[in-house]
Amino acid sequence: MDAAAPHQQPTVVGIPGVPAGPKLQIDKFADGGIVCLRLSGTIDESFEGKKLAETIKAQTLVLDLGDIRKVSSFGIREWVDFINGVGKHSERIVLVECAPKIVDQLNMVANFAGTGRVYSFYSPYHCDYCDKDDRVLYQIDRDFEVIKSMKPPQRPCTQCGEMQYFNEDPITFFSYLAGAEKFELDPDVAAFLSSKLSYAVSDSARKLRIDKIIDGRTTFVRLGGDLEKTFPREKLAEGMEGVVIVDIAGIGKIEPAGAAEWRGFLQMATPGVEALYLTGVTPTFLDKLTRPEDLGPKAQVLSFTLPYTCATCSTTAGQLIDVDEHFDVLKFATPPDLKCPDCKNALVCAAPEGLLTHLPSLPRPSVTADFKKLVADLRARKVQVKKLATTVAEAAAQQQGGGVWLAFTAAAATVVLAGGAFFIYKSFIAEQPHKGPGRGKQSGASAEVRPAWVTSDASLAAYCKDDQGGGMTCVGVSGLSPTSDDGIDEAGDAALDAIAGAVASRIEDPAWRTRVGNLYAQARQAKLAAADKDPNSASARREVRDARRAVAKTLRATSGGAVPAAPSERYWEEYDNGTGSKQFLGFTAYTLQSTEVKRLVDAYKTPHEALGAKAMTVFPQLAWRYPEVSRGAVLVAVDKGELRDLGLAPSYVVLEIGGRDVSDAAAFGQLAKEELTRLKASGGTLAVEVQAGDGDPRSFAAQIKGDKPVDTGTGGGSGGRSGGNSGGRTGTGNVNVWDRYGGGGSGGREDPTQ
Amino acid sequence: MRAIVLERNKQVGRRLVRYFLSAGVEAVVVEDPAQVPPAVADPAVSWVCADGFDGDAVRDACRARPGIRGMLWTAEPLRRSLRHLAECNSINHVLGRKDFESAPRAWEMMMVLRRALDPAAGPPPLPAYLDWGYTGFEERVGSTAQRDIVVQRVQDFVLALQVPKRLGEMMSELAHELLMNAMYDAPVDLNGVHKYAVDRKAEITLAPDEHALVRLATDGTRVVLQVRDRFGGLLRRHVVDGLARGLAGGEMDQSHGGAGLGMAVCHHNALAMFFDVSRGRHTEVTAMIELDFNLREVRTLARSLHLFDAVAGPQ
Repeated sequence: MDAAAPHQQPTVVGIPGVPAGPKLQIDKFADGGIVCLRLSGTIDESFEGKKLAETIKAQTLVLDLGDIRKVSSFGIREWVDFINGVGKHSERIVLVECAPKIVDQLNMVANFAGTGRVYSFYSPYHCDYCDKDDRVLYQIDRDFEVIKSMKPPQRPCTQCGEMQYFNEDPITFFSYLAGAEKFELDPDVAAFLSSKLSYAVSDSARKLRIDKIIDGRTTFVRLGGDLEKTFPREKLAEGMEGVVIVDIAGIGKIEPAGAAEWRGFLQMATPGVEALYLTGVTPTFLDKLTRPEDLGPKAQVLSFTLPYTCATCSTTAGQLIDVDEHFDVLKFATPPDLKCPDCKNALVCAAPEGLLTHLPSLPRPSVTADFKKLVADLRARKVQVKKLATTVAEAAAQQQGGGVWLAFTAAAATVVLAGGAFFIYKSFIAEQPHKGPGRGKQSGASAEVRPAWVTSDASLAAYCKDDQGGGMTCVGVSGLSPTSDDGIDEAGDAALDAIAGAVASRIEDPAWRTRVGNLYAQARQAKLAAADKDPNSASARREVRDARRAVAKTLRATSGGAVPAAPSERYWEEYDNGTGSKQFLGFTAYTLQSTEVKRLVDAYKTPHEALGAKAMTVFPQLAWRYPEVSRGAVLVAVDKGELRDLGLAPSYVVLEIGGRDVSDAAAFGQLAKEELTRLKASGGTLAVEVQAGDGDPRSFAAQIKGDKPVDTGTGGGSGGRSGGNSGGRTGTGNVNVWDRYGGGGSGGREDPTQ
Repeated sequence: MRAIVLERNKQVGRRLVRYFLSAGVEAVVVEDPAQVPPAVADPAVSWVCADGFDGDAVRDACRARPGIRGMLWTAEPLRRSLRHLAECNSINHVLGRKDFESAPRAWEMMMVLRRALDPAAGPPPLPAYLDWGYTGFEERVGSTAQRDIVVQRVQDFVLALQVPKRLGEMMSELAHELLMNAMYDAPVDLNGVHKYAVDRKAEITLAPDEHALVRLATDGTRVVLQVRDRFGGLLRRHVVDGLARGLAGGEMDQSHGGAGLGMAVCHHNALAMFFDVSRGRHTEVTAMIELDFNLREVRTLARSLHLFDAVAGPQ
């Protein structure tokens, strides 16, 4: 994953003493106590480390070293002077997106990072098939186990899709980083990097966070994170009254669906409130969501930020602009004149023209000085840190706890706040009930009253609720279907997919998350997003329906009977859209006891080892990516041994060994050992079929020398399995098996391109 | 001239004997370190050679018989063999090899032995580092601005060979490092005082007779970069101590104006380094990198280090 380039226009600092075209370019961004320096080019004797350090004062200094190409020995000296210098003026130093060249220096030079900590770095990858060099970003929080193990996995090439490999000596490359401690970025730093500069940070840092303060008749809401479709507009608007102030400063990216949800929130909240004020509005938010039609009759922008550059300090930073105070200037689409808070010199606005032309449309807020002071006080108030809810029960408990800081209702809090357990299927739960396009009027149902277990009727939704005692109930909702049975069936598959998601959230093994969870997460998200983006798209819905059907099939096949054979509840509703044709919405619920949940978790998280590799049973949700794979074992570690010699790598799904089906991890362990024992006795070919990346399964094969002479004949009474093969294949003996296993197309071990 | 070769792998041993014979040196292979002391008692023996793993035996033999020279080969990081160079001035050559079942590069070993047989011949010409048929360029560098131009030319030249971009960057980094030494460290006045070492940030222009000479050439399988100054001031300890410090953990030594990590930077960017010094006449540093490996292999291949003439220990 290569990070996108920062979108904010930086201040470019030329290095003193270097003639035209500085070898090192430094871009500087600032936001409050956070300063980010982006260094690009060569660090050599022309780098004035000490001088630069004297100009930096920050609570958190972020150093982006992604574009450093060369470092000379004297440059190292200057760098160490720099890093030691800034260490005296900064509480924290974080190194992000370090180029491989920087990793080399970290490995070679003592104290190269000073008091700084490396959060992310690029690893070099190379694809032999298309000769492409790539850089893959590793994050210390997300990829800690891989870094620690010093075994970077192969990954699909971004150009041709074949597997590309880590193009360095891992032991050398990770020698410094493997000793580093795992840490996460502070939320404010993560928000700054993610929202203002488009850096890659952990997903949890980008999830929407909502804090709420109630002060008399004033409700203060602080938002942080990305504005996505999961924005809980109803929950947030529920019960809002009096004067409402929403602090937008922490909002990062705004997705179209998120913008729509925001507009919906304003529409819902407006009738109940006296006034609604937006403060700390970011340039992106200002551009997208503060037109008169967006604000409605009661919402007003109190303040917003625009980027300003100080030529003296060489800093670009967002400056807060009070709309009331500067209204007379803003109405002419002109940014107000501001002075640098540090050096008091004049600032130059760096906002694009398009944004400035929008300023005259902002209404003048009708507020008093006391109210402004109240807003400033509320904005300055620190959030009381609460343990994030990871279950419905925890969220509910937090809600009962009361206090000034209010959690939202249990279900919403689970979605909004949880960074862990329920993250995987947040996209379902967050759906707010909506009738959907073309659903029409309800004309019938399987029961007089909608059952209480149906808490959302959003098409294709699926959600789980923890029951007391460790069990859970998962509900699936179909799309509009031609018959009630079709709807019920589709809803059943959705509920089983939700069960799988809930099981995944309970598997905490990092190896599982890296090797199995990551294998399908992207494919699943993409299919769900496509269906959500265009609810009328038959193909998008079919993709989701087929994937869920495959998930359900695999879950039943691999769960060892832990999933109930029949759902606990069924319900359908009939809709008439006015054209005379009827359509049905199905609802299906499965209830699992705590023992069944535990069995499921154990079934998928228990590894089995053989031939140097460790495997876990194929997880049902892999079907989102590999719809044809309903059995097998996923390799989560491949250490020294026959399978590694064969060319297998972690995240490969083993489907067959020696022509025999691998049903699960236990079968993998047993079959692999049996096959090796047999081959060591009689010699032959160790053949393994795997699903490795998208596309058809691939075969890997290698000769194993036996203790006894091998019969290389074409039968001779040795049976189908003698000579190292099975499944009807004849023995190979010492014959080159490349052609026999499909030649170049199969990617077998004897394929000279392997 | 006779050499004692301590090598446990018979196949490698046979190959080494062949190399030695080709260079005109009779070689006796022994497989046990205990066989070395009695073998070196023979006055005809002038070389003791072994893998760095048996470096102690080579070092002890060199100490026991002054005049004997030591040669090591290794498939491991240079750091482990460097200890023997630091402890024993008679060991001046470490030859990298792919693994314990391979012999060092034949041409590299041949060069060491031939030069030992004819010490007066001086450093070999650049083509000696290359196969038959090569192309390249030669530049004189007399100012800071010229340095930057040549460094860029080195990078462009290497990248034109269809190698990974990082390899081009490595070679230009190497050229920059060697040129900084040749331009800022090497020049001394008649009293032996360094003329430009105080301020390495300064833009300098060298007198014509102080110019550094850069040669870069390739035969398609390897690239050789050579930087030469006319002062010949490089000392053995600059190389050995600098490498030892850089490879042992990268502690900086700022006592000479730089970071003291230049040798380590060079080491990381080259597969073999040849240091040739004639005191007061020239310092010639030649770096070689092979092109038929991917970056991962380049990183893991063992490095070679050769110290010749004045930069070597007493012969």
